[in-house]
Amino acid sequence: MGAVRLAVLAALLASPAFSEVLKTAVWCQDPQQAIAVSLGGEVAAVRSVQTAEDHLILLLVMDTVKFPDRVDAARDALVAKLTSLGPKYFVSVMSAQDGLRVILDPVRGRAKLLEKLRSLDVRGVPGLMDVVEQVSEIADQTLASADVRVAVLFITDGEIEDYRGDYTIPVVNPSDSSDLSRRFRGQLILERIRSIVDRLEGAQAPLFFLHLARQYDQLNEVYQNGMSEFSQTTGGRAVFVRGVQEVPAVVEQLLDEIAAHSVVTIDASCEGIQKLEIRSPEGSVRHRETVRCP
Amino acid sequence: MKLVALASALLGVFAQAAVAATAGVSESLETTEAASAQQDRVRRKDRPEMAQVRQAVQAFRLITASAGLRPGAASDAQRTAAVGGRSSSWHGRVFEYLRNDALDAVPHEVVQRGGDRNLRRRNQFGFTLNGPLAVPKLYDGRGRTFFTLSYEGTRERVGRSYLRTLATAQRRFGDFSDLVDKAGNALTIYDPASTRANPLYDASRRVSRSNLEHVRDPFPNNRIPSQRLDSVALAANREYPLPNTAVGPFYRNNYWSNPSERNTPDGFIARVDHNLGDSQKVTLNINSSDGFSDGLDIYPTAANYARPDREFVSRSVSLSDTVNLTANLTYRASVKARSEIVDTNSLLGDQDLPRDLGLQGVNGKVFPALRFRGYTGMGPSQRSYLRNALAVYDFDNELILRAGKHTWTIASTANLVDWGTLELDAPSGTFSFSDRLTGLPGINNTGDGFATYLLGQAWRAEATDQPQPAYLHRKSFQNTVGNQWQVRPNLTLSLRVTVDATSPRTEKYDRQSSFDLSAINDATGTPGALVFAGRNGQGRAFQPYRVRTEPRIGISWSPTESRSTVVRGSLLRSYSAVSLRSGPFATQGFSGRRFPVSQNRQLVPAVTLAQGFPALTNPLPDLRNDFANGSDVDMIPATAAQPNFNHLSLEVERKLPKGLMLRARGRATRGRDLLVGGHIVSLNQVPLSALAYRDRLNDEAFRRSLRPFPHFQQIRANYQYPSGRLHYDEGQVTLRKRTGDGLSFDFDYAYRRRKDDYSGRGVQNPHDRKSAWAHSVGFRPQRLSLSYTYELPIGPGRPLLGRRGPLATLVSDWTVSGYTRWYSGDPIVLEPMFNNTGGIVRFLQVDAVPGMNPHVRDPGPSRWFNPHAFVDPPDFALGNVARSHPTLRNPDYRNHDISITKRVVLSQEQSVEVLVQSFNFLNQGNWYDPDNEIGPANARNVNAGRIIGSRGGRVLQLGLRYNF
Repeated sequence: MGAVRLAVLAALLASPAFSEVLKTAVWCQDPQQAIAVSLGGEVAAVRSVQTAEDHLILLLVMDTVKFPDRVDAARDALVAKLTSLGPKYFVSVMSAQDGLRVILDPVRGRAKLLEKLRSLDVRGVPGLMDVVEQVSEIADQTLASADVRVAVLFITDGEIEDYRGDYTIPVVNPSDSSDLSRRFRGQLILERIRSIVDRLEGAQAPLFFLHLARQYDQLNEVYQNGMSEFSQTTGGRAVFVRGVQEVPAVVEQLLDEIAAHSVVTIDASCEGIQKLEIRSPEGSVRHRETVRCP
Repeated sequence: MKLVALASALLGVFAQAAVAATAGVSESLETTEAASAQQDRVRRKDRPEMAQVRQAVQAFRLITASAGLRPGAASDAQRTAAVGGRSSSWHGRVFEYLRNDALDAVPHEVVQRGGDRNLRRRNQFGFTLNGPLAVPKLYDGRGRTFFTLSYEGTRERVGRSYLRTLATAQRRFGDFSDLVDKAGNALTIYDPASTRANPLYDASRRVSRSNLEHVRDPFPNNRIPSQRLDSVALAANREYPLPNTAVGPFYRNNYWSNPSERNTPDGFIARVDHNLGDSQKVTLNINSSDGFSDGLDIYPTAANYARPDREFVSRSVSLSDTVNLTANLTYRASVKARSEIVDTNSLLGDQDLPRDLGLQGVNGKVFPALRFRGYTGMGPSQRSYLRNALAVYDFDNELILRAGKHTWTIASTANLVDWGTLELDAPSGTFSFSDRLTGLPGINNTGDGFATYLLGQAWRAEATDQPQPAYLHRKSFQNTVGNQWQVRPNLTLSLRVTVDATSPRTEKYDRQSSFDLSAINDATGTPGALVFAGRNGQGRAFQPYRVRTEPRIGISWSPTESRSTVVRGSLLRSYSAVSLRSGPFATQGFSGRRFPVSQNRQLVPAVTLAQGFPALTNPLPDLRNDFANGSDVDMIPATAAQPNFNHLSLEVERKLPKGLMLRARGRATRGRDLLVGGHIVSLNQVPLSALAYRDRLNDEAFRRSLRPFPHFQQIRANYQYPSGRLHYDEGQVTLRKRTGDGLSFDFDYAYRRRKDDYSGRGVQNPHDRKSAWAHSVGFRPQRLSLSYTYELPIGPGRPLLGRRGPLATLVSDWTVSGYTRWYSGDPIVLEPMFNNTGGIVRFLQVDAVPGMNPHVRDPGPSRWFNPHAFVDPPDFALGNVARSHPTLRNPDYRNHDISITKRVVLSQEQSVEVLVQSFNFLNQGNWYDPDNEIGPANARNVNAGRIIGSRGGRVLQLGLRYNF
């Protein structure tokens, strides 16, 4: 059975049908109207559009290690909002700490979702920066497999100091009084962010980030900036919560935004990173600025 | 097209197979809740779309199964190989940073002295490796055991610049014919051997040049006859370098030195964390560092005026455990042990320098500390010979419980500190030489400190004897209960109470003592004597256990529906611990401070160099309660008072468009019982009303009779006396921008006001601390910082050179980061040139000249402030200008650093970064502080208010990092 699955998957991923089209998230009024798309200045044909009326698979990635009260608030708000959004929304749960794990396949049963979310511990070492590319690839492959909308929402509360990887450049030799290599301490984080962004340039499913505990120190600012970059690169959004009281409203806003997005499938016979422009006669369109052609 | 068709066919087959073969999928798609009729209708309508969803879900299952992300589906190795998971493979970096003076600007302070280079050779190198712990055939910890290993080493030589004032070549052989005061007037030196009472002295009039109490004869031609020169001083002079520059004024600032310092630290950090099941994690951290730093040869001789070579050893190990007992209950525990050793003593050679000089009566082998008023001295700086070994043990426990809208935290902390300290203030003695013994008694601006030194006549001397280290110990415990309560959806309150218990200082072998205000002194029969730990009914400690309660209340409120604004506030009371301090403080009797005192510092010396130091009268330990009689005595204040603070903080943060965030914050702190030295409080000070006795105060016997404890000099508290007050207020504005167009920045400005009654060298009147209330010395009120990162908009996908190609590859992935700081100047502390108060006012302030504006129109190095607005106070009088000037400020400080990084991608997981970092890249010089010594009206310091130069220079660092 495993070999069959792999063969199907390999064929699926290698198919030119998917290497010559590109899906991207857009926010606009009535996207079914004649929207015009250009890639690198060249007109790109629109093959299909999935609107906010279509089904959506939301990959929810939990990366929560520190603030159980905020995680509780986020979880409750999430389930409440998804319930109000109706049955078109299928939610999968994954856990990012200590490597990516699937906790729940996409379901629209809210009770099951709530049960699984409640079963997740707030513990361990944050893994967002370790799994974001992997999750993005899974989302893209899922998006490529059918005419559905797919989005990813990371919910995290970790700080950069909590990571297992050495991003904070801790002082090794306290007696080295003239060390200036740590003056720009955010550079290791920046390097990792750049590496991730490079790979996300080709990602197609939008990534959203909800950080439950905004931090203000220099290193965490760089880290949180990175989440903003990940989301901007893919057309999503990152939000940083400053207190538990903000959590319900922010979750609601984010889910509204995720629910409202459309997916435009376009021909993409191009190479490299190209500037993406989408225009609609119905008004302004929000979308990512560039994309790497498949 | 055939391939497309094939793929479509495959997908069709795949979708049907998925529906048929995976019953679990349809189950997962159907809600397990009771479906409403409405939902059923939606499902029927959605049926074609549902096939698409099923197809996508099945794809998700296949992809995640292939990647080994499903429970029990695959190994970690498979997980890694399938989709490129990062947590199951090794990653790290190798780096090298290089600095070389060929790349630097020559520092301003070096250029101004005529130098054309400042040595700098620095290599900093190392690596970091992290990933799952796996040892072939022994242990496979993938998915549960992870390690991080970092190593870093540095090899450095770096030049430092010093401008000093040394005795001229002719003065060091007794010829003071070139001697002038700071106004440029000729100065006369007098022969102390000719001192005699003035038969014409009129006691009803003040001492003056026309009414001297004691008279002296000047040395003929201002030259000391060679046979009068002290043999030890002459021997020491051979190690005293000659002046080598003439910055001035008047022979001052005549020695410039640019020695280099060598640093060779090596260290590593190792960390292993292991997951015990899904709910428990154990982490082990080990840090180790060994360093060596050689002393700066400010003088290239044995008389070097600097600290000696030092070795550093730093070790720490910690173990922490986190257990999720239930979904709502988490327990964390950690234990940490840390040791730090700083050692100079093991590096000493065998040469007996005091013996070579002919100096007798000291135990050390290093060069004696010789200090002359008006000149840079000889011998090591204070407390530079030491071996301090600190060991700290921390035990932490924390329980976090969530219950409804409440999150409870219960925590306890134990902290144990052991400090083995052997720190000799003056192993071969400190000898201080004033101008008074070669001046006219009672008359300012006569005599010379170096002339007094050549005669070997020290007005003050001190030698320490510490046969063994002191092993100090202290422990503290904290218990905290906290609750965070979400009162309303937009309002959170937090409450926390900490009970803090701190033990007093003890010594492992009870080798400590303290001055007791009420103990009867055996020698004098009066109150005030040493008491010894563990003896004669005295407990092991001299202070009580301190138990304090620290409450805190906080609020976080989002006043608007959009949650774009958040208001935070907190109010708390805190206590800071009375920390252990290194050194032999409060071990008198087990260690000794020989402290001969001049009977009249204007007339007779305390010791002469040629005669050497008087020996201790009894061998150590000497546990007589009058052991310290006649000298300074150490006191551990027998009080439960402890530094305490009340803090109030309020801030408003608002999100703005375009990724901007604005935050305004106000903070206020009020501190009491802050720790100060014994010289700040009036423990054994002569009342300042005694200034009316004028010149009689120079007589030690008379002055002693005025002190509360006549049989002691000062009562030292080693900055452990809880008596200081502090007010601190701050207003801060922060503007931050998240990256959007490649630019992110953080702008921060703070205006702060801080006042206290203790900062700086000391206070003029310890009996009236209110009069000492002033702006904090050394505190810069305004602070501005800007840090930014800009990813250049060049390369594929960017506005410029967006097409691919070799050029685009070359010019893409450049990042510029910068950091700019500006601090306003700290308050200027004005000092009188002379202090003729009979030794009862240690920190004299200056007088203001009525009607004179202390500010100048365009402050610059030639005139930073108006020195004519100030004057030395009259003899035996206090100055009336505040301890720190209320409006005059030292020069500000500014610095701009920049880093340019080029990233070269080698593969998905590998990259190389080339870094060019420039510190102070604008090569800006920051002015030194102006000369703050004023002088009397008839002999003003011509250099007062002037700045002698600037410091700083651009430093370039090149770096190469390979990330994998």
